[in-house]
Order: sequence, then structure tokens, then C-alpha cells
Amino acid sequence: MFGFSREKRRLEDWASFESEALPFHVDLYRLARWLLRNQAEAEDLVQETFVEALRSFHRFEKGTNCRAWLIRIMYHTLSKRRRDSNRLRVVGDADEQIAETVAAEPPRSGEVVEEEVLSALKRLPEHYQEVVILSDVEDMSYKEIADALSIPTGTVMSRLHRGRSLLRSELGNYARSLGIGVNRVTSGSKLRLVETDRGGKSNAV
Amino acid sequence: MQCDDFREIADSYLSDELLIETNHDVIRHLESCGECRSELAARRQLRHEVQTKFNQAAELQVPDGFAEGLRTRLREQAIQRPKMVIPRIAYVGVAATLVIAVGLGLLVAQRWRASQRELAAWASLTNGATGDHRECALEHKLRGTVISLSEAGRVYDRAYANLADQTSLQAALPAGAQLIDAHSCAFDGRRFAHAVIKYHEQIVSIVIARNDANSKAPIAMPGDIAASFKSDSYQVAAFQTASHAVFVVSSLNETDNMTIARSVSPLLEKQIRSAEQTRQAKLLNARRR
Repeated sequence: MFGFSREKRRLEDWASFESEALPFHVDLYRLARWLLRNQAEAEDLVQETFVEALRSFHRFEKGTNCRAWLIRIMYHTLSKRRRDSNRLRVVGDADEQIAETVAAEPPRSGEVVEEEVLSALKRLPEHYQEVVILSDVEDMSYKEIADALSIPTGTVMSRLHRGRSLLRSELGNYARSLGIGVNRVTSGSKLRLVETDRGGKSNAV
Repeated sequence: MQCDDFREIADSYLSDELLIETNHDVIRHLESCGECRSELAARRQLRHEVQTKFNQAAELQVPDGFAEGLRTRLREQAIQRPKMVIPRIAYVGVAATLVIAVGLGLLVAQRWRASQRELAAWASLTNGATGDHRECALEHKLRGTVISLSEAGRVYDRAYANLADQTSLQAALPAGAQLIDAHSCAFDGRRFAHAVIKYHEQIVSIVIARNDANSKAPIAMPGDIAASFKSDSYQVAAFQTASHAVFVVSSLNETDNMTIARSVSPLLEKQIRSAEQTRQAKLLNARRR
């Protein structure tokens, strides 16, 4: 009898995981494939992420952003992997230098081809790419991005600001054709802190 | 709002990450500025392009068969029964010993991990406090997050409202220390009660934070002031109550910083504790009902 009810429970849990979390495998795969640039590694990462998500699904708060939750797990899995394999990424002070280097490149000119947006995105330093993708593609809030990447919300804001400025200047003519004032974007300008992080705001209300 | 201001925050506006007041400013500006309206439309369009191109990129699509394989493997894992193995009688003793040994080992490891987590949580709280001092008191960057202490007490944490009594706080301070401002601000996902003081030509912050994330301060007894320490190049003194932590952060020397901490700790501790007790009594009452 007990065995039966346990089995029933497991089936119910699975049904809820299957309906809430599993559909996001498409988004997770896209992101993993983008980050790792390799199909087999991306498949492994997505699978590992879902195995971990299944294990800790009881901790997922119903009604919150499940995709953001999964992406957070994926980033944690990825950074654990990278730690394990000692393949550390360049972070910290080098950020600024890389940004300046990229900003100094003249905007590409010519026709806008189908891949133009993505190749411009690829030319950004990785930590700018990821915040732009998490915000623009995955629609995650600053707070959710901060949690996923284990960085402060302020850093998310400044990276997004810089990343988007760089993307606009990378896209050059294309952005101008949309009417964006590329020339007015300065990569060195600091983000003015009139924004608030969602964590603080939601805590306060 | 000027066009340059708008361009700085246009992306945060699109992400719906601005404060309501700032949002209103943006809308007012957009009503009167056609150039910024088209800039906004173009940025929205660019975002849309990024999203569409990313989601449609052929190289990023899930390969055939991956979804089915993933689903099958996860389903197996989700519903498989843990296997029961009945050991032979002769092995039972050995197995029991092993279980106890492993259990003890796990217990020790678990305790150690828990204490590591507590220390990490405390370190993060301390970083929040010094960050708040820097960003708010020194660099005035957190204006957008500031609310009054009484409002913070109402909507966030009752303990913060008790600190709204600035007269008592000023009276507790040592001679020569001047209370400049007291408010609630948010930094890095945390909301603080924040008093800004001037003492010996230096800006000093008293930062009060909720500490219910199981963080463990290196402080022996609740109420004791931690032997002050340096964090992020600032001098910090801290003490804890049941579920709050108070930090005194400044660029003063250790003695002066401690002087401020000692002078305000009895008052703040009393105020915070009374709020904590009220909250606990309320919770108990609610449970009884």
C-alpha cells in the first residue's frame, strides 16, 4: 500500500516537472549551444542541468520564473564544471581592457545579412554577450541574471549597459538604419544609478 | 529629464527595471520629445531582432531525438524505485558498522559544510553593508532606492521603524558626532536601515540588515560587538541580535570606529529587540489562533 502511494507521488512529481520545467529544454539548449559552441557538450550540459533540476524541484517556488530557475542551475553546473576542469575564464580587471579594445574597432559597414545581429553579438566579450542574451532573449530581470551568474545586480546593470552600447556600435549601419543614435553612445560612460535592483524593490513592498 | 538622461536609462526602461517615479519622468519626457521616442522604438526593435535571430538561429536548434532521449532518461530517474537488497545475516553486523561509520562521517561533513555556508552568508552580509556605505553614503548612488525608515518599517521590517527616532540616536552619539541622515536604502538585493554620521571629518555609516539567512558572525554572544575588522578597506564593527545585524562602517581608525559602535549599540539593540519580540509575539498569537 505504502509502495503504491509512493509510486503515485513520484508519478505526480514527474508530471509536474514534465509540464513546468521540461518544456524549457529548447531555451536551455540554445543557450548552452551558444555558450559552449559545441553540440555534444551542450547536450551534456542541458542533461546535467535537468537531472539536477529534477533532484531539487521540490525547492522550486511555484509561480516564479521556471526558465530563470533552470538557467541559474545551468550556470552553476557550468561554473562547477569549469572549476573542475581548471578552465578559468578571464574576469575582473581585464573586463575593462577587453571592452575598450572592442569599442576601438570601427563599426562594420555593409549590408545587413541575416546573421549580422548574431555575429555582432559573438564579437562581444563573453560576459557582455551573456547578460545581453539573458536580458533580451530570455527576458530575465536584473535580479534573476545576478542570481544566475553569481554576480551583484550592480555588475549586471553595468555589463548590460556596456554590452548594449558595444552591440550598437558593432552593428554600426544596421543600428543607424533602425534610427539608433550610435554616435551618442560612449562605451566609457557610467550607468547612472536611477535604476533599482528588483530584489531591493520587491523586498520593500 | 534631458535627452542624454533618457538615453542612459532607456534600456532599463524597456526592461521595466526603473522605479515608478523614474518611469513617470521617462513617460513625461517621451511625450514631448519625438527624437527620443524614435530612439526608444529603435532600441525596442533591436532587442526584438536579437531575440528573434537568436531563437531562430539554425545552429542553436535542438537536434533531432534529443528531446525524446532527455525525457526518457529523466522519467526513468524520476519514477524508478530505490532498489532494496536484503543482506545475508553474516553481513548484517559489518553492514551496520559501516552504516554507523559513514553516518558519522556524513554528519561531520554536513556540519562542516553548514558552518562554511554560514560563514559565507556572513561574509556576503558584511560585503552588503560596506557596499551600502560606499554606494549610498560616499557616492550617493542609491538615491533611487531610498525610502523613509517609517515606510520601511511598515512595508518591510518593523525593526527599521524603531530607528526613525533620530533624536535618541543623536543623543546616544559621542560628542562631536553629528547625525546627518537616516533612511532605508537597498543595495545588491538587500534593504538596509542606514544612518549617516559625520565624526572626525569622516562619514560613518550605521547599517542595519536583516540576518535571517542562517549566517554566522564570528561573534561569541548576541549583543557583543565583534572585534572590529577591515572589510573592503573600510573599518567595520558589528553586533547581532536574534535576526538582525548592525554594522558600523567608516574610514576612521579602529578606536574611533569602535567608539561610535559602543555608543549606539545599547540603544539600537534595545530598539531592534523590542521589534523582534513584537514580531515573535504576533507570530505566536497567530499560531494559537
